[in-house]
Amino acid sequence: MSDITSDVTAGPSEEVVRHRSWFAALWRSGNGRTGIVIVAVTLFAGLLGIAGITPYAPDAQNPGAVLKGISLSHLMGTDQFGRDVFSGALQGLGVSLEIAFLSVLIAGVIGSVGGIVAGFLGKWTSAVIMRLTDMMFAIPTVLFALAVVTALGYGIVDSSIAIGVGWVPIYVRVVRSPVLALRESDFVRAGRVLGFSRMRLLWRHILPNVAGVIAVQTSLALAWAILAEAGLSFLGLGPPPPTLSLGDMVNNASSTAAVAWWTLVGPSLVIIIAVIGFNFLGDGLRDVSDPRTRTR
Amino acid sequence: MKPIIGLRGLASAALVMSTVGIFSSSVLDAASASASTGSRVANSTLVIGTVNSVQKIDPDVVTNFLDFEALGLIYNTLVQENSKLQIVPDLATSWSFANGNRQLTMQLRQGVKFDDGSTMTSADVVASLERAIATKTADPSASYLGSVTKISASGPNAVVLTMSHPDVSVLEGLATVNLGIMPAAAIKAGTIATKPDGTGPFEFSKWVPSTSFTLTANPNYWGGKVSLNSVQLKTIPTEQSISAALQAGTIQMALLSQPTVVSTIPQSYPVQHVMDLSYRALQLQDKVGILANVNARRAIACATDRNQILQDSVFGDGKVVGPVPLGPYATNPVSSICPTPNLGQARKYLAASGHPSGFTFTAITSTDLDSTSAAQAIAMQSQLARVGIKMNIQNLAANAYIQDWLKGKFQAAFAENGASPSPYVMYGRYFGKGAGLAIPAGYSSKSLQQELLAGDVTSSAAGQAAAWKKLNNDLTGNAVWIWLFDSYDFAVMSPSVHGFTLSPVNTTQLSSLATTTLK
Amino acid sequence: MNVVTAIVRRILSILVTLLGVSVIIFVILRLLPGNAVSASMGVSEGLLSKAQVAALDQYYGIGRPVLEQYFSWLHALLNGNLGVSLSQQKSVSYLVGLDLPVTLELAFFSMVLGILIGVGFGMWSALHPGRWQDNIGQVVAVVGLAIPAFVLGQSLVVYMSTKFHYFPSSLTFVGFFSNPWLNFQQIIFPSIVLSLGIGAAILRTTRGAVLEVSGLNFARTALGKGVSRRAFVWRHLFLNSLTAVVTMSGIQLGYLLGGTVIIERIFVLPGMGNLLITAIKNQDYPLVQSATLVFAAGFVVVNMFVDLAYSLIDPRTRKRSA
Repeated sequence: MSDITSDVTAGPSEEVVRHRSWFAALWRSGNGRTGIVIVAVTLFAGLLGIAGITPYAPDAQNPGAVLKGISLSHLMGTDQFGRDVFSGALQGLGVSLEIAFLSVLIAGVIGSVGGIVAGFLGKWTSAVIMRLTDMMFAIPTVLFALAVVTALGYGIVDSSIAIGVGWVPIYVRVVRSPVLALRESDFVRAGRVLGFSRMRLLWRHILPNVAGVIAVQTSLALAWAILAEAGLSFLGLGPPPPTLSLGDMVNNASSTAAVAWWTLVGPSLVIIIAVIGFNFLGDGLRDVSDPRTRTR
Repeated sequence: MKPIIGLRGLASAALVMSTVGIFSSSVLDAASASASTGSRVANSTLVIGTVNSVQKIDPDVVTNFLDFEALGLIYNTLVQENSKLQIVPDLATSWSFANGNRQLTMQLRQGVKFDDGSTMTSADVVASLERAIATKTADPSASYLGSVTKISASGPNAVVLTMSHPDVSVLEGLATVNLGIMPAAAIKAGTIATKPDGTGPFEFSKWVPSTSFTLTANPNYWGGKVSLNSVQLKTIPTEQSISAALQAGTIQMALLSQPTVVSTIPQSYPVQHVMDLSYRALQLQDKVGILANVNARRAIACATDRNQILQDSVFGDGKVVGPVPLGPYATNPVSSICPTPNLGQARKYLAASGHPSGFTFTAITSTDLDSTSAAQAIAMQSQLARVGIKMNIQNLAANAYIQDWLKGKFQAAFAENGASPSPYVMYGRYFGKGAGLAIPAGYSSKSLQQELLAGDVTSSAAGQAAAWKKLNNDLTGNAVWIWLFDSYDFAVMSPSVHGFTLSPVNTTQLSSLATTTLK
Repeated sequence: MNVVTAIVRRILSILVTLLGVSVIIFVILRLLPGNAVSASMGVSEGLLSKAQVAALDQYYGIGRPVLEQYFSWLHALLNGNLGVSLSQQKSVSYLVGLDLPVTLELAFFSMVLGILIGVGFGMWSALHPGRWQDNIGQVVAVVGLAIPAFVLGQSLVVYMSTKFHYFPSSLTFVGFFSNPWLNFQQIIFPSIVLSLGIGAAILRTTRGAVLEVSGLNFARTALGKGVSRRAFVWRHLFLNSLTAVVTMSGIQLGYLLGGTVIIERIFVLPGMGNLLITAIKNQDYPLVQSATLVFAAGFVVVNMFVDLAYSLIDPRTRKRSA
């Protein structure tokens, strides 16, 4: 496979964007502002869920309020056991975010390191790493995920590993490309001539420049991880009870959706908003780190 | 700054979406009208939706519930269990024990035809049973005939089984399709594993792996005329989709196990449920560690609220049971100690165990094998915590759980095991002498072995009842395991299905299809 | 000769990739607990006597050295024998032959619809940047990206089956040539669901590429020279954006093959995704190994064609090594 993918998904910028104006620039871009707002709200809601600060206990059954619609006391209605859907969704969001962050951390660290190594070191290392990523791309991600959870068991960490594995090759590919370009750039070559060590070049010149690409990719990966986790839980491969993730809620709601649409729409809306938020944030970061690919 | 989506954009989007919505609804209406007339099957084929699929078509090696049900429609056995779990004739019309219960003679039904047209004789029965116990076949029910030393024909219409020691459980053991009767010729030709040929109400027609298993009516069925033309077991991966298919009319019966799905199907679809022949229990490894202490185990038994576990995991759709869940020897009360939770008694046992403030242990579950096991574990966890017992829960994938279970690598395991009206059949393999599942059983005692044997050697009802009462008291009094509950199996059908009754026995669960009609 | 060497090198690289994939799958499956016997018998394995287990071990070839198992599998594979499924008693090629066409049909329709939606809305958006056409395009992109396919799919199934008593894909699946109308009904709904995600990604790419191209010098020059708007749009903008669109389509196809699994389950389509999941749960080594290899082979072949198309479209890339 050629390097087309990285051209499309991200491009390097020769200038390093300074930190102080970084956030301001992000805020200025339409995408970035929307993304920041939505992500902030999502993270806050997720934290509430993790901390257990919800209007009702998520698994508190109330036989007297079964399948009640949206009301002031139940912002997203109740399910067939009288459980408050909104509280469940908050808790589910917390779980989904935990898994998303953990899996992206795994994928990001391994993938970025792999990409930097592939871009910076010699031809053979690069070829081997790229060959490995090709193989990983070729194997369906669901297969990987299934194999991982079958071997490790079901839980938050296991789901994270299963999902993280799928995004590693993308990080490798996306990070390698700017590193490759930078390696050939004037100031890096000048640095080599001047005798700077590889590590110093890496740390001072290359890393800051790929930081933007990694940031963009991370935001997009978070959006994808949330979707992937929901999919895994939907298939029944997610963390087991009492941990209830958004995918589980959607799965359970499939049987009540016909008579109580809010049981399906509630958790789905949370997934959608979170994914939209991270996508916009990723677009905003891309606008900031590489104005060439600006779309608004 | 400019808003993300202009008002005009939103309005246009809304207009477009509602137009699409209205248009597609009317298209769907029209399409469904035409499609559903297409799906209203001519020729009375009953389509049954299930999440499982038939895995094997050699009755001697099946282990999955659906395989038992499916092959139970094609093959018969010598005896069967009726809905009251009493042994009734099937291909054998009468039987008698002799020689101190060391010899079982069975008179065979006459005029029974196999699907290939040949008539069943004792030679076929002998060949079938011998195939089942042959090592190469690897029949999991071969051990039911473990004591049988000789199988012989006594004329064309009778078969004699000779046992090495008195063993009445052989009769009960014969009720499984693993010991189904097939033609000797097909066995000899080696075709029986790939081409089913039995005496049951339906014949094998087509098998599309992971998708469907189709049977057609057996025109020569000895049990009477079969009204349906054919039956199809259709695999639909999720119970929600099965419910959808039932309501769409593409299937006429749904085999479900999730009460939540069943409860959301409209009332116009009749629901049947039976207690299936299985039980949930927390198996304990009693050989080493804290659980080797009988009082520690008793404390667990007394702190457990079985009813609440039943409520939390299957929403009350089942019954709390003891070691023998169903049949004439069902355990009643469900436990000789603390049939209902008794925290005071639990604390007394804790004190007697030398751990008055409680102890810790780990239980494994597998939601792959039993989707409710995690919920059971959580309910029990909070119950035990009330007396200071800390139960850690570890949820494993199916294969990991199976491996650990077989090797006894667990302290406690939430299990779902098969049941039988015969306590010997149920527990001989765990606690009997030379038991195959002694390792997962995690407990052995001479008294249990003697009690099992006592029930096995006598054929008198009174003698059996006494023996099994002793067994129950021994098992529950020593809290060998913590028996929990048995849950329902559900069949939901379209109103066009008549004359179907779900049976609790796996081999015959669907056998009333022989007399079912579709209107 | 350049083209030939390029193709040869490409094919060699594909073979190396597939070999690597085969090793990875083989290793992963061996790492999973249990083996074919336990997968086939479940807990009932405990009911078997030692002698019975030994007989089964021999039958399934368990206990042979791992390397021997790998090479005998590989050898059979190269002879066109994909092995026999452990759980289904049928040959792998038979099972794959049944299920692969279903997945391919689903993928095909989803891609076609996705490309139509993506390119259509993407170009429309880019040609009216910042105005209401653009806004609709953005909405479609966001909706397609953010709504999980399984939510949409499940909602559709529930809605159609309970309100309209309509669930065509739960009827036995029919091939396109045996009953085109029913086949169409069975495939169209899951395809629509999948196409939204694909379409959204392609939309964004198309829009971005067209915008970028339309800002370039040659575009301004062409307009200045009086090229008609329509000719301009199609010949210059579209073709030059094609590379990016083709690439994104290729990427989407890759994800699609993995993503059909959930949709196949919801819509009860007997496809490869469903086959694989069941096979993994049953630890059916031959089926998982060979079926995954089929998937992977399909994926790399498609990618090869995508790259080929790319090099045909953009002569600048032809000199690059594959």
